[in-house]
Amino acid sequence: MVARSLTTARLTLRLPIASDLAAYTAFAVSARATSVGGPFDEAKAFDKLAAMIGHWELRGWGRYVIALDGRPIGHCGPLDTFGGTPEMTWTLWDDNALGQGLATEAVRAVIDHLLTDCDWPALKVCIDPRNANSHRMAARVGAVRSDEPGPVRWPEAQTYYLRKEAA
Amino acid sequence: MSLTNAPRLETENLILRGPEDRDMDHVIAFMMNEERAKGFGYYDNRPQAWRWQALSIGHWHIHGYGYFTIETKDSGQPAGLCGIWNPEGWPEPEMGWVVFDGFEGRGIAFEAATRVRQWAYQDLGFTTLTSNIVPDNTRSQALAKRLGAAPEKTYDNANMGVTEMWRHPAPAEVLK
Repeated sequence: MVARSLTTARLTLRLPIASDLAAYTAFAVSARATSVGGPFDEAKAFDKLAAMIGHWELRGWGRYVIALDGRPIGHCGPLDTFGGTPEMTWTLWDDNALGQGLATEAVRAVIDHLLTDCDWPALKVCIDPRNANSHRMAARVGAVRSDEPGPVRWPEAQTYYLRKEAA
Repeated sequence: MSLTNAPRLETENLILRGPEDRDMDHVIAFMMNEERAKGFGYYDNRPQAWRWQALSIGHWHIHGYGYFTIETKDSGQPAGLCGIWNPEGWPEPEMGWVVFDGFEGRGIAFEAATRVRQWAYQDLGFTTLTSNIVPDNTRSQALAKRLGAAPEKTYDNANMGVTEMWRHPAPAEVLK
């Protein structure tokens, strides 16, 4: 069973909640959201956070909110792709949280939990070709580049796979 | 299994309950039926329709209210949705209703909406309530009228385009 919260040296990973909406929306409407298909308007941000919450209820797993000292700074975790390999996602919402290895710390904890504790066989990763930071993250956490095209909603994305043996 | 904190409400013929796993195929079938769902939120693909139901569940978690699944007591099957909807971008909370294929013509929406409105006024403490209806949805307009609501204005809704906002009678008139 996938844990509903995880802790790392500096972070708590927990389910998204209503009070995350302001911090998530601030990111979603910003220029930085371009790399994840945005920027979005406030209504779309509400819809996306609500769907993130509902995904957990429907699947029993989903994307964690990354909290630093009780403050939500991003999200990371698996997303259902409707029958395919679950897609591992990560995004830091807070500009001030960048450059300290916090995303890596969160992503490593989630990957380790899913592939080792939960024995999932694989995770897929889809990254905007221009998002250099995310490509570096993929390399750091052992993701292997794939020739598979991106998903229908995002055909230009570069795909990677994370597998149990590489974790 | 309950996926939300929604209460369970009853009427003579209906049970109104929070969304459950077994509703998914019924909701998806409705959302992907352009004719039926165009005044509510039509999607041409299953993943998007699934995501709407995930959003609907999350709406309950964020606001503490949302869309109930309407179940008929005689069939035990999901027959529609009715509840209070207030995502970001909505002018104010509204009561919405839809009836799934095969359940029309039995007064289900009226019975559900009457109970949901009572819940909103009595249990949630709402002091007013609207319903957003697209101009060519004559069935919903007729039901809004039957519920005692009256058209107040027309505005441009971010999801549905040009929309009529109907206002329901106040709690004092409904709860007497």
